[in-house]
Amino acid sequence: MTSSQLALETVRHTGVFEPYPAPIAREYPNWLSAPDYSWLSFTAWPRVAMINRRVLGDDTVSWPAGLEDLCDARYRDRIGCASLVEATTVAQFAGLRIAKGDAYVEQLLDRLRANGLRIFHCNLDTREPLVREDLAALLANSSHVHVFHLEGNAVEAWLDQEEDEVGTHVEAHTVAVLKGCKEPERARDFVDFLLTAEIQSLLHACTARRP
Amino acid sequence: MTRELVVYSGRNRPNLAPAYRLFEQLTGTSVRVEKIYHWDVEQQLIALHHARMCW
Repeated sequence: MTSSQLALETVRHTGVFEPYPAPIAREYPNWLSAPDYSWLSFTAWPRVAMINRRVLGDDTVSWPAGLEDLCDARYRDRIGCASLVEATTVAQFAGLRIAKGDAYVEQLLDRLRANGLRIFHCNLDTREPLVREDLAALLANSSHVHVFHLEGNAVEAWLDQEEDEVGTHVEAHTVAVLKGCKEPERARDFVDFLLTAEIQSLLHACTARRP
Repeated sequence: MTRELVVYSGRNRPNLAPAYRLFEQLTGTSVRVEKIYHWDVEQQLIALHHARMCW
């Protein structure tokens, strides 16, 4: 199991997985499983902006609506993101490169850095500075925002939602059965178990991952 | 003999322990979780596969 489709898709062509077209997964949208069902996603996490309402207030007009907005001077030195240690950061910008091209993304990153983008070691490390240092907005996984929201600190904003915009990057926790494993039937049973509505609901309640 | 399912997991978040425990109780299969650092999980999977170390 991984926190991203990226690693499993990267290695899929080597044949290390035993494809399993789980009945529930066959009803999925295409993007939630490998074309040959070598891997299956079981919970999703949108990549959002974590908003500090103490800085930006409750009026969403003052909130960033897209990644481009984070390059605006009104957010200068008040934005942040986890480093490339996090597969989530890699996946977000890799996806953006495919959607909008290398040149655009490299320029976007340059402009974000020029606007004072803070780079934190990991997603977990982004939460505390948001409040402690009065930052305005951070790129984060929605589950981190959820945990922080429970403490009364922040809310999430989905970026780039206009019709002609690129949309929100949504990644997914993903599971695969290893080819030649000792207990293939048990492994498939476990995959089916993970995908049940009951376990999806449990994971949503416990971890704020989206079913 | 109790069967065992080995789960290689790149991360400990989300915490799937409740799901593991429920699966164990419902199926009688014990679940053992082994961490694989997520950053180079691709190469580790290939190495494990070729070496047939664990399965």
